[in-house]
Amino acid sequence: MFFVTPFLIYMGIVFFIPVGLILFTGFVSEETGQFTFEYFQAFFTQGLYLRVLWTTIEVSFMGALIVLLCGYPIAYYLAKQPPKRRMYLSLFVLLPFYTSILVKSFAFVVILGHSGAVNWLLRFFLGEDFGVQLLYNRIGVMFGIVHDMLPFIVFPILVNLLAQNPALHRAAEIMGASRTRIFWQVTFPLSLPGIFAGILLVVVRVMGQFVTPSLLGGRTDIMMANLVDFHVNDVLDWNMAAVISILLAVMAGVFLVALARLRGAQIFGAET
Amino acid sequence: MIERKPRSSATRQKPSWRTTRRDFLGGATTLGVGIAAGLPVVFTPGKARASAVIRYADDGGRTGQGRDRLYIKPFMSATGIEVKTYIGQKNLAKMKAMVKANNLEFDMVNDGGSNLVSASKAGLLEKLDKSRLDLTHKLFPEWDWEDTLAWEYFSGGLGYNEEAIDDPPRTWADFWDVDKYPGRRGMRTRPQYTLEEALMADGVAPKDVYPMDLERAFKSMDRIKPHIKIWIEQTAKTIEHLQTQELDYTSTFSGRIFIARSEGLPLNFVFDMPNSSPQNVGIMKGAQNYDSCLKLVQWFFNGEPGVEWFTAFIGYGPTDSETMAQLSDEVKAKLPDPANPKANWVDVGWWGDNLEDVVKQYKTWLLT
Amino acid sequence: MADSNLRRVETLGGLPPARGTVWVAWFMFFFLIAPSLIIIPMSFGDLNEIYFPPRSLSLFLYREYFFESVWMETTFQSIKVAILSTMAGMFLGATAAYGIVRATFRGKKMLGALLLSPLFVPNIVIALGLYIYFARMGLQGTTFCLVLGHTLFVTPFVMVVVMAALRGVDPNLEAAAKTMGAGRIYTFRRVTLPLLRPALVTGGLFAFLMSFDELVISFFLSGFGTQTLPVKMYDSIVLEISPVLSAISVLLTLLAFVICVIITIFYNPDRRTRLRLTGEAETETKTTET
Repeated sequence: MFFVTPFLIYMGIVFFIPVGLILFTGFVSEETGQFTFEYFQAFFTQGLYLRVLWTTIEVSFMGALIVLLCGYPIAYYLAKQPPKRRMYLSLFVLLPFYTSILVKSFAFVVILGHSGAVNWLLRFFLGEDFGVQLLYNRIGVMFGIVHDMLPFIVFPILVNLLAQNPALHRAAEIMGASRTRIFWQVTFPLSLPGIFAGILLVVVRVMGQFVTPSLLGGRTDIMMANLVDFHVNDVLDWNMAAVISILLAVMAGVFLVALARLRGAQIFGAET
Repeated sequence: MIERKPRSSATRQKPSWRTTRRDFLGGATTLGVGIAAGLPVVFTPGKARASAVIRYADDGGRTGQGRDRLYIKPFMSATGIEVKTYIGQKNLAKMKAMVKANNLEFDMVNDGGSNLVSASKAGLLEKLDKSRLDLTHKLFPEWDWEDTLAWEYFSGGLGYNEEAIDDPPRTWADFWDVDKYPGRRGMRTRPQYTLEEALMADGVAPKDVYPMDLERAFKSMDRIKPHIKIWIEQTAKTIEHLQTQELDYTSTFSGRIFIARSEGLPLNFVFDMPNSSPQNVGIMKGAQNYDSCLKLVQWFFNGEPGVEWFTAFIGYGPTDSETMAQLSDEVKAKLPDPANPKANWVDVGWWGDNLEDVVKQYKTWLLT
Repeated sequence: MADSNLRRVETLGGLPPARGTVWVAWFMFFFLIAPSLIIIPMSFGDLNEIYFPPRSLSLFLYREYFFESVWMETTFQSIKVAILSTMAGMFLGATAAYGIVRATFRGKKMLGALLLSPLFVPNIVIALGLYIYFARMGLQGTTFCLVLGHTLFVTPFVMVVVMAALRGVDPNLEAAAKTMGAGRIYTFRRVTLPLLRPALVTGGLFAFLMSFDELVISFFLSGFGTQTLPVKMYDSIVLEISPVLSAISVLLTLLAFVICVIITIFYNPDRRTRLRLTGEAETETKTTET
């Protein structure tokens, strides 16, 4: 419709053409100008690229899992609060959401470092020689990712929990079920769609991460976004950079399609 | 929703295009005025306009700050030419990208010899008009290239934190010996200086290092790889990691260590096995203010600040023999002795030919 | 029965949470807030070092931020880019959102998804595309391309906010205006937009913050002299951590906090709380459930 045209045109110029350019750069040979798979072939045959691809997938899923374990209790606790209190407590989750990832990563560099807060505490209690390497390795990356992604897992689950039919819980309570039983037999199964939605969202976001692995990770924690940076700024190889971006976008797309399928009434909890 | 449109002409809806056209024109005018007003704000020139401004690329950290204070600012007041310092990526890829796109972000660059000689060989630098430069008192006549000039030299080697370590490794072979020296190690993510260290650790005498046996160097690197705690990208970070005791010892440069020392940090440098290299300046191809840049080149080579700089920033040595003569003995004592058989002098000519490929190989090796 | 599934409940039914859960939840709250909190004392450190805990307190770092030209330049650059992108984003986003929500043609869901697609594409991909695109045009490194990139990034956020809010705007009001002879644009401008004020404020603030904090796209598109604050900060962390970053981080967190609070107030789904907090007059409009 008429109102959509400004942005549509804008996207045409500023989004679709560049995206096409990436596809072009990834599929068209630099020398011959012909359509080619050579760059993709290079990607899938060299250990370096496969290694980084695996790291990206590994970090995404591991991160999502940890975030889930940390985030579910938050969502559950928030769901049990009266609305006013919930609004104030949500600020705990919202503030990191609004805070720049750079600020958060920098804070972690400071906190997890050898002279940082955590090690200082450990040395305080366990003696001067005690020091744990929490930075420039996978642990540091995980800290950063979990912290960054918590809001994204908490909100889908929270929405799901708040939409669950209280009659079901009351019925179970009346039947004499213990709290644990109610949770595992009623609440949790109903929240599965919310969980999946949250996980998919987190996985997609973590896959494209650039700052966290760069600032908090080590040599082996390089992810695909960092590899794109490497190819553009260090090696000047736009073709491989394009290939990596295309693959990243495709991977994200696959998960997003799965997420879209899950959307709708399913997220809001289904009746058994 | 409205069910039926009334038919009487009084309330008949005006054809929508009539109103919209007026509204559209009004909107378009507002937009146009807005754009016209915003245009100068938005189209900030990223390129230098007048030829009296030099955009100069340098290192960050304390060294860069020192150069800014001791060289750049005096240059600006002595000549009236404005210099804007750029601190950021200035590696070969960046220079290539800029020249290729004909979009220079800096006109002059101050960097290690290996980088600039490679840039020179890749045709990225302007030829230095030697007839307009006074280079009569060159200390190292072998450092002679068309597009780039060595204005100082520096030494790489092992830096460590005195508070944490009292017995640092004295040779590269020692550094490779993880049992004897179990500290947390750092190394660089660049092959220059690092691969030389690897070869020397493997037993190659400094005079035999070039041309480099890359296979042997990488094999040697493979041995130390699992024991490196942090691979450091930026030189300034080597000091930071020693300072925060994230690392016990790391490959770094003596100049940086001494700067830190002068600020009271308990860092020290192992002199037994220096890895010395020239530091060069160069003018980017297509730079618009060649004459001003040439003045700055001269200034770096034998300008007034020389004595102050080399006295304050111990560990860096001048390439101008006149400047060298004015330095005190205790400063000269801290400079690498060319006669020392254990001292390695980086062959920037070799790097000039091989930098690009070796960098790629090295970085790939790093990521696996 | 199926209806009650979708009813918004006040609290999750069942027993109150177990002790263990409460502890974990509060520990996680602490974990979420701790980084922002720890940076605060560090920002009042005296020396140019990063030690925890700081040896002495002073405003040294804040002074360095405000009086060091390089930081102020990049901050103004960030503000400039953010304001321009937000303005453009609000225009493009509000119009597009209106177009989609009020659309009557078949493919409107598809079109909606298409317009929102930048939200789903990893930033690095957008950044690379724009980089190659602008580099070939010789525009890479200019403020202009930064604004273009940021606008693209920011508009879908505005769209989402406005789209959600539009569902609460009674289409009958617009229809009434149209029968009185108002054109499409006039209706949009004089009827819909005023009703969307909270959403526009929310969307605008959100857009501003997103643009101000944006790193990846800016990293690829900025050049010497056009760097934004996050790019300079990133470069600084990578190069050699400057303790000034602690001070800047605190200020940025403060900005985020202020915007977060304002948005929470304006965008409170509980209409009564929002009206009370913002002091808006109660406009009794019957909204029909779509």
